[in-house]
Amino acid sequence: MAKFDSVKAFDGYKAPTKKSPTTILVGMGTCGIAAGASKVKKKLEEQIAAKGLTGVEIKSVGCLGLCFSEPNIEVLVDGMPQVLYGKVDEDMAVKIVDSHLLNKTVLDENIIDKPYIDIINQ
Amino acid sequence: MNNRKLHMPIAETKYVFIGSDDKSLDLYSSFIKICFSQEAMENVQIKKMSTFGLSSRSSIVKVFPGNHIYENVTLSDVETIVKEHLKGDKPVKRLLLKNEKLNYLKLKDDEAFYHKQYRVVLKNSGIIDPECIDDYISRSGYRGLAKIMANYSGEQVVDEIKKSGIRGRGGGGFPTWMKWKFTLEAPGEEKVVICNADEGDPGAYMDRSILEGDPHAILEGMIIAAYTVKAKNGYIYCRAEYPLAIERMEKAIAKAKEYGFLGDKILGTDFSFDVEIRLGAGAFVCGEETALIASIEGQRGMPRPRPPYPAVKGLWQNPTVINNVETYANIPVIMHKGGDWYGSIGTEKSKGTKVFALTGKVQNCGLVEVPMGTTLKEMVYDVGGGLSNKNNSLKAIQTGGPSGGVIPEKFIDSEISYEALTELGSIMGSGGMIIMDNTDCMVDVAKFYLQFTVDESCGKCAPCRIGTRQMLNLLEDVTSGIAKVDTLVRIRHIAEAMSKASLCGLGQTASNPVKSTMKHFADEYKSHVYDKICPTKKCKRLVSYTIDKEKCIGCTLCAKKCPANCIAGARKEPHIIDQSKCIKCGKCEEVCKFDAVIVN
Repeated sequence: MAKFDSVKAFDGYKAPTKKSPTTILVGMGTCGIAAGASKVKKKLEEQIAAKGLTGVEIKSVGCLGLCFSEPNIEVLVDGMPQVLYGKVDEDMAVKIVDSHLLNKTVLDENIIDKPYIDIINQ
Repeated sequence: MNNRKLHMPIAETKYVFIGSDDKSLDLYSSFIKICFSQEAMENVQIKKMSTFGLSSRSSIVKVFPGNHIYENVTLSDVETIVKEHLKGDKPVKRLLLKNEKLNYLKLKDDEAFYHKQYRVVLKNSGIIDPECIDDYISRSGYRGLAKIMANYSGEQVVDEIKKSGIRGRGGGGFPTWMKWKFTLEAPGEEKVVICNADEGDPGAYMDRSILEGDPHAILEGMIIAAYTVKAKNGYIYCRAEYPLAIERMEKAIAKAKEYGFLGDKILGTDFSFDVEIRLGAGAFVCGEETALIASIEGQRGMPRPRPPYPAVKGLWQNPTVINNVETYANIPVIMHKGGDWYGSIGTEKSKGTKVFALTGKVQNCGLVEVPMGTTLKEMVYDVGGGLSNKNNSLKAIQTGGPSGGVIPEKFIDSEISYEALTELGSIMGSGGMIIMDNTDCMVDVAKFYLQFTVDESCGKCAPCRIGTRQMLNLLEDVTSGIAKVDTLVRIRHIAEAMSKASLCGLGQTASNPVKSTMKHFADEYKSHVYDKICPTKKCKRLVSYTIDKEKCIGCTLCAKKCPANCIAGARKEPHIIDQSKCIKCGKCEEVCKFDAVIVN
């Protein structure tokens, strides 16, 4: 049975946007993966588990278009601005968990000004 | 180990991001100094951020919360911002960024546009998990489909698409509404919708990104097309070189079926439509619509004469809508936000946005999406961040891949639109844009593309099969210094014949790079043919490496590194390169610490 059996049923549907207090978006298009994003993602997961953090969601997203700075990671922490980091390696991943997530302090390096706005204003 | 909850951030922390280029380095120190002296450091984080060499604004400072963007900030503004905004909580209105008034884009007050990109097709890419259909739905996904299924007939959808003005993004630029209308009106019960995801242009990966990053957008576009023309079956023809794209698309199709957007009785109505993926085997010609159709039918991918066009007689002789990935990805947002909204972006005849794979000698290579009407200058210097080697100068911009031409630097103020690019002797193409500087040889560029088309010609028609090979042979003569007096004339004749008589677009446009470079860079060709010199020293056969006796001290390093073992000389004596064995690899010049290798 399909989930929606009528247009009306779908109209009334509000998709669950399970927003965790902290979300990390890892660019996992072919470009990102080729640049090492899978390793970075794994390191992030490792670190978050090691420090026993909860309420953190790591999401694989598509290509951000910033191919020259892959691997790209965006960190969204409630109450802090969205920060885009470029050329992220495993060492930086550790720093992101320690400094940005735990210490609520944005890193001092590799911050990129995202060169476009979101046309869907949420 | 205890489960440590992340504590809430310190209340009222302000974050200052300083767009750093050389000037702004002072800004950063200045902010820190003044914040200290004003005792404002307590709840402030000051960070440097890269704005990629943006040339249209000299310095950007962003302050959160509130996403206030200051532009052209000078050292004297820092104190004002610290006192009034950071301490006093009142943004300094007169220093805030103001968007330029653009005739090709209407922006809302809070939409900052200094980076010149406007992501419509790529609106979800990099934001959603492409394997999560709920992510897609939460950003207006499938709402366009639901809207038309509730209220629109096929003809009304065509009208809305007509209002939007969208044209085929695969390179042809044919008005999409017309294609759909022909198919809708064609007689036949078994209509088909095909998505051309073959993307063969070297260096182009726009479609791959959309397939990997937002596959549901393409699906929704196809389902809307199927609803419009009353098609029952759909195919996505995707090149096998995109395994991740195929995997994500397969998952998307399964999820769409699960939710009732695809398959039997979509959303409980009589409309049924199913989609399959078919894999291409890497033939560039299969990106041509009739060759693609032949390939799906199980035949060798070769084009056939048109008319009849696929809209009337396509897959297995059925009326077929065949569009590019990017075209479909635009459809859901057009139906959801309305054709008028889409039509308000872009120029008079080229509406909407275009995704480009910006590569070559720019700082920021990547996938960019700009509104039609953006200038080439903005692409290179704002979006691209300027040349990758600041000591070089911009020479030309190549668009359209193997079917396109080069646009010399003097036309850099031209807008990007189907008409403008065609007038300049190139084409929009599928979106490849390669920036070239003074170290690129234009003859070499033409040769590169021709090497590609020679390999990819299907061989069915003589003009292309024989013409591409002959042209390549002649170009190789040119780059080897053995061209004859009439070589350039012969190239021109073959180019004319091919463009008039070839069966499909591959042959008709294969000579465009040659024609375009010969027109705009005739001097370079003449230099190769008459003087046997390659001005950029790229064409190896025309370049010779010799050692300057005065400078060489006989350290023997070059002789040791030479892969062809063609450098002779005793220790402390000047060395000599044997020209008959030299392969012009350039290794000797690279390793010589005394600048003794002469290249000419």
